Amino acid sequence: MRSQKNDFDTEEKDFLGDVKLPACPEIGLLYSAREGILPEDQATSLNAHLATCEVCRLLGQDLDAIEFGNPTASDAANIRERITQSAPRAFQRAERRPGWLRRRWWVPTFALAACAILAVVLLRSTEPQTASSALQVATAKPIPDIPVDKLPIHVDPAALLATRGAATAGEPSGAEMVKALSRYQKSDYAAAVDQFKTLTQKYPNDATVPLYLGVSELFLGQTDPAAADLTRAKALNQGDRQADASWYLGVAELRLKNVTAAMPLFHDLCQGKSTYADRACTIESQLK
Amino acid sequence: MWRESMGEDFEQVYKKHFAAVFRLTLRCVGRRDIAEEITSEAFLALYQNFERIDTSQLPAWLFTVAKRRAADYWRRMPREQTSLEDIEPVAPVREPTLGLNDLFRKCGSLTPLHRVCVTLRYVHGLTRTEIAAKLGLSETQVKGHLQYALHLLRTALTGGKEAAHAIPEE
Repeated sequence: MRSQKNDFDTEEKDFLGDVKLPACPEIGLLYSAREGILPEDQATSLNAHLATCEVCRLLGQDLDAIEFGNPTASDAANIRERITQSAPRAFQRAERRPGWLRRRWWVPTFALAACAILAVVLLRSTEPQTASSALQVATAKPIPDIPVDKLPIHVDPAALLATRGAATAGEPSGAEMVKALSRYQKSDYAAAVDQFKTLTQKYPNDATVPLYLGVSELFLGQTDPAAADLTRAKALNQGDRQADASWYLGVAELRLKNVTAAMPLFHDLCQGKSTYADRACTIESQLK
Repeated sequence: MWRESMGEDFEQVYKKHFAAVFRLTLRCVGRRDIAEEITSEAFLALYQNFERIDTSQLPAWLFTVAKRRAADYWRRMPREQTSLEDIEPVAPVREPTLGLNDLFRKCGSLTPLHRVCVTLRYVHGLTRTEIAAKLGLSETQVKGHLQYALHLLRTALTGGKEAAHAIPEE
């Protein structure tokens, strides 16, 4: 994990003596925990670390900002070389392959003909459909069931007491937020929803409250109010928090079978640079 | 092949999706050489099953294969290298008062790339060579970013005014 090569020069050693450094897991482990590919016990401790470590959270945002992970020309060449070594014909164009008879051209031809016949039979045997019902048939696709991951609390609730202080006209006090977020952190979503609802009535323009309220409602299966609160959270937040709201709103819309509303949300996330981009692209391709 | 007869061959599918698969994999394993290995394995698996797979299942199918391979990578890794309990921060010489996050907050001139280099170097303990390999940069670039960032951080640490242009960045 940590290399500890201890090759710091004098200036660096001097700097290290003056700064408090957290003990953080390496990037790959944090991403893997978030992608759900690690054993549960390991993922739980990593997610707990991520929820409270400001340096790790900032590192995640910065890695997104510098588009970490894009393949270089050398990466692309190495990957292609590896594939070619195991499958020498993988990148030969179809038209250069000998023996047109070996291509099973009759399979798609036959399939197309069968479809055409089936369509004619169906059209003749059914009543004319309205435009909307025809559209529904044409666009009917299985809706993916997306497991909901808990949205981490980005600021340690204990730290909120120090940083937020007393309530202002627009936002809750640190103590009020801690009360609600600690319920959420303990996965007591029913109590969290009660707390957040009180706060949202008291501070209707606060951006954080509707986000965690919506996510808590999703966990309780209260999808309609979750969609409403997450819509508000999306409008009130910017940047990463807006991406959080869009993601959970997309999940809520899919649970409501509202594919038309979910599609643009996943499309925008797919085009963006948030941590949801890859997952959103996958869902978008499944919905198309 | 059916897909070839419909005008889409393996190479086209590869070109369309390899960057996304590599990006996901590199983020999950954090090492370019392993990410290259896993990405090529995922596409080899696709090549072997090419006739049976519908394009609409991509890139989700590839992501699933890549994630499984990434999970295998962490499973093979000795437990002491993946457990949070075993991570020790770089030992300070004196008892410091300011956290790195506080310093980052104080130092608004740092770009995301500077902060990433600093975090990988001083929190994750990587060498300049390892940082360069991870980020796809040259070692000289990493050295330049670190020197520049360290200068700004030290200025912020001593409460002095940031001399943002005192050291020309390489």
